[in-house]
Amino acid sequence: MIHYENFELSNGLHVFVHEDSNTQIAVVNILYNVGSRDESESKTGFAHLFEHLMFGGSANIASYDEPLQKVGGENNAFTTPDITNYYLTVPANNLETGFWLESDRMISLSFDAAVLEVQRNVVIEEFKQRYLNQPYGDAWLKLRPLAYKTHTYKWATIGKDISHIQHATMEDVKDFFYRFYTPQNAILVVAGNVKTGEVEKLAKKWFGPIPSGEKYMRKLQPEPPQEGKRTLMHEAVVPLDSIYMAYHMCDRLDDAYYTSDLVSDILGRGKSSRLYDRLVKSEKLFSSVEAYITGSFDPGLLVIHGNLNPGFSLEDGEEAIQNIVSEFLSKGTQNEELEKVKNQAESALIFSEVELLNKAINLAVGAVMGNPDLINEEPEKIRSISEDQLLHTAKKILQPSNCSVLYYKSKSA
Amino acid sequence: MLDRTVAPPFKKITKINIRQPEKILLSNGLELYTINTSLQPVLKLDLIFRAGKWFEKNNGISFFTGKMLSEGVPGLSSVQIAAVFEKYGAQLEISPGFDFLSVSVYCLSKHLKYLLQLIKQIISEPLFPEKELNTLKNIEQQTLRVNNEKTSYVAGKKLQESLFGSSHPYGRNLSEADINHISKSEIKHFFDEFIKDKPFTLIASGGFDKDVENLISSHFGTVEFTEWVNFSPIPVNSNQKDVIISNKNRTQTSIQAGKLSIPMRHRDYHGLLIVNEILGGYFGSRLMKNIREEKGLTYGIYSSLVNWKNSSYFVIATDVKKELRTKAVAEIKKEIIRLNESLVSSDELETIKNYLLGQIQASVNTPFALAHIFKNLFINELSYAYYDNLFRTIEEITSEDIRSIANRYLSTTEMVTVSVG
Repeated sequence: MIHYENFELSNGLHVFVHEDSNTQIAVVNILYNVGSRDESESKTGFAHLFEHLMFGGSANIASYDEPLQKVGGENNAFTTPDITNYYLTVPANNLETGFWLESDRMISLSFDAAVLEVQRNVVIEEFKQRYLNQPYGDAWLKLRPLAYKTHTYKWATIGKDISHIQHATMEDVKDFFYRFYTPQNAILVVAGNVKTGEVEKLAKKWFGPIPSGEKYMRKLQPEPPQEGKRTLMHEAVVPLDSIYMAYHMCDRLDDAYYTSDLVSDILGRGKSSRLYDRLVKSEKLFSSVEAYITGSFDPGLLVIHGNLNPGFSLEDGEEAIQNIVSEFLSKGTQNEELEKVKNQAESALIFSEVELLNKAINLAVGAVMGNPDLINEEPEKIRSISEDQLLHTAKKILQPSNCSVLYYKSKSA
Repeated sequence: MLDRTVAPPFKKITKINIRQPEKILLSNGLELYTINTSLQPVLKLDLIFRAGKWFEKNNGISFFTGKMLSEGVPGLSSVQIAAVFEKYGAQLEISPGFDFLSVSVYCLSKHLKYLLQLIKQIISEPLFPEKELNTLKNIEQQTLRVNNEKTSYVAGKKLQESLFGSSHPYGRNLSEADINHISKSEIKHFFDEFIKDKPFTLIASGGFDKDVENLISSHFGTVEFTEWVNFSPIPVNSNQKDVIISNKNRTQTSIQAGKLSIPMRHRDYHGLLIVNEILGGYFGSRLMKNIREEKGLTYGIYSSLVNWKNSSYFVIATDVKKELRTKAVAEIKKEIIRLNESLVSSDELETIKNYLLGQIQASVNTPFALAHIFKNLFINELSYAYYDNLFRTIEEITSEDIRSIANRYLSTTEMVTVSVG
């Protein structure tokens, strides 16, 4: 259970405070309601490139990192298809430094051409390091456009193509900033050894004077229902054949979201899961196999992924997975198995509340979707799922016509 | 009017409380350390054995013995063991290390009582079924094949081999042939010699009540055991050779440069820790500023001190634009020479001091982090005075001290450089 208080500034900035006197530090987390799904198809990778630029100096402060380090603080950020999230930790009595830095970069960035030039290069190296120079690193760059034909989830956060990053201009940067980086599009969470009254005072002082800006109204084309299985064969120099099967599922706020999560757990979470037990341990077709959901805000994917053992083909692997899925759909689950995945989910939730930063991020994510209590309601939502609901949801998702299969085939160098 | 160009006043960190564990002596003499600080009812229980790679005769035996512990006990198969842990949403994590073997369980505190008997069986009567061993060998072969395609993985392994020698436990790399040769009888032998009836140390961290503590005490307090095994010295045999492995399919080169270093108990260690921080220990470090933020050659570059029970090394690691590898290596050297020759400015020194204290303060907030700190001190046979000394060093160190420590421990001449990709 995460307790919080909240208030809204007159410029539209939502502020949440989680007091935790067991720590000597404070977390300042700012979530901007913009992710790679908000990009245009000709300028992808921009939300993430922008995240890098946010550290290159702001309206009145030449450097973001150094003043924070000087007071004992540390920071980072991440971009997803849905959001861009910035966080810092500071000794609690230096909380104001966090407000000073974060509010200044909400006013404006320095828009320094040299910063853009360097960060373009850094992001290109990140693209290579994480996606191109790793075995299977580009699998999701292939899988996304296979599964999504309309929705902007069809490209990855790093971008569709390196050239989009190479060609980013200062005009693009400014346009992006003024469109999305406004008080109305942000959620501020302050957590740790702080008092709500003090946070409110600081929030008014530093963020209060910032003009509210335009509220961004998201109008994304929904992904139409998939009407037939899609496949893609991709060959690359990797040691083993690998298969990815992605099924469309509901969005993050749908009642069936948690049920879908449990469906994936039953199939492929842990060594006692159906896929692992049968395919790795008994039949030995795979050296690894897992199932999970992407957890995106808009309708997401349930993914089954496995690496095949030498001597078995991708077709063998797919057929074996399909057999287990079919058996699940025809026979359903037993109470004991459902209890197991509920316990796994409950345990993961409680463990996720140990770390202060996690609590702050969870609050912000719930809040931006319109329900800061989401994290607190999750245990009950998970507990109440019945065997029938589970099977009903599984049947809806796990249809071949709803599936996109990426065959990632090994070839020699 | 608010003047946003001026930073708000700040306070220096004057005091960091690092919560120490409570030590409980079990009736048989085993030691249980508890760190009970969480509001969440979670638990991590570690059992630490002196059964790491240090003790093995043939490559890979300690690793496979560790991983095979949970693959079958009387009455329960591999999958049935996994099912017991997963039924309670618990996770079993077996970490075979260079020096120690850790068997850890993460669970909700209320569930530990259902798991203790099984944990005890895993460490006392594993069956090492042949069938599961073959499955595991295959999985590890495949994992190794994938890892060997990762340039940063290969660079790290090659550096350790250069620094410690290919027959030393810290420098010896597992090959597919090694995995093929592993047999059940060797595993059984290693188990009998280093785990069965051997003493171990327990650490419980999380949020739990006295019952849980009593349960652990009563379960492990009756175990009978013989004497501790000793870490007998194994000589390091550095070949000090630079390595370059090119691969036309790679778009980046992973660079790892390093040298053997001083252990945590050395009087200059704290100073060296600060020198490392300035060079490449954090986002604002000189290497990061130069090679990422000024030149855009990489997504990241870090340096660190790696400590094992019997040796330590210093390493700089990065992935850079392939065509600019030599430039990156030259810039790394330049930054080391700069630390050796010039004095750090008072401004940079103040930043690093405050930053380090902030880092320590931010790293003592969860019971798991506190347990990690304790474990690290414990296995290096250090007390919490280590932190008092660290705080004092941070307080007192001067720019001259930093230059002299850099000269003593970070000369570029003894540095080995490995490039892969």
